[in-house]
Amino acid sequence: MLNKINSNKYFDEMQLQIRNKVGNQCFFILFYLLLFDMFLGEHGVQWAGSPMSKFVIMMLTMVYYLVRIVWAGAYASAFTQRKENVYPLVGLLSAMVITAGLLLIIIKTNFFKESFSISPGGILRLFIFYFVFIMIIVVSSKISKRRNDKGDD
Amino acid sequence: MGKNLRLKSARAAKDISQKELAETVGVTRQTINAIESGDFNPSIRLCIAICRTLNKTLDQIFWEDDGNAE
Repeated sequence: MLNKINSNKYFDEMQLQIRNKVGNQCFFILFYLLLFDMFLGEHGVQWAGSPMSKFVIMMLTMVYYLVRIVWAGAYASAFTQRKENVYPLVGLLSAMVITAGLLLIIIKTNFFKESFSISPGGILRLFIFYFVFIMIIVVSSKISKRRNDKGDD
Repeated sequence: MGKNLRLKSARAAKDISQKELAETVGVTRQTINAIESGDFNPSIRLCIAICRTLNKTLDQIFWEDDGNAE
């Protein structure tokens, strides 16, 4: 009965507390950075294109969030068994295959041809993006789990 | 918040590792380590779970006085 009463399915109470705290900080960082970017835009300072500046700010905030929770050992669950760990990876790989298949269908047929076109290089970039994304998740999990094991016994 | 030496000694007296205690009460080993180091303030439910596992009362483990907090 005692087991898991102080946690949700994936994280214990300290991990949840860290994630919530860092998440709140990141929300406010994102809010103020976007506000500042808007302020700069209003005053004629363009440090990047309009969608790109928002993307860079979101990426920076996400990287900050990731680094903070990995550093605190709150990224990966200590409860997750090896078998359960496989499912997200399988899901991502399935998403990769499905997306690539859909793109191939779009390119090979005349579907959406009038609206936009996708170059074969775009598919390669998408694959690289997915690969890097999966690698980030795997490496972060490993680092976080290693940090979970640190400390005196 | 100082180190919780009573928790560490009670655990050592029962010959339970941090990992074993963590698995029994349903938290990570890092959380038990943080409680012993005084870096994390656990919820009352977790305190009770730890006390039950170690057969101690809340006072014996978590009540702070000069002898407990470092």
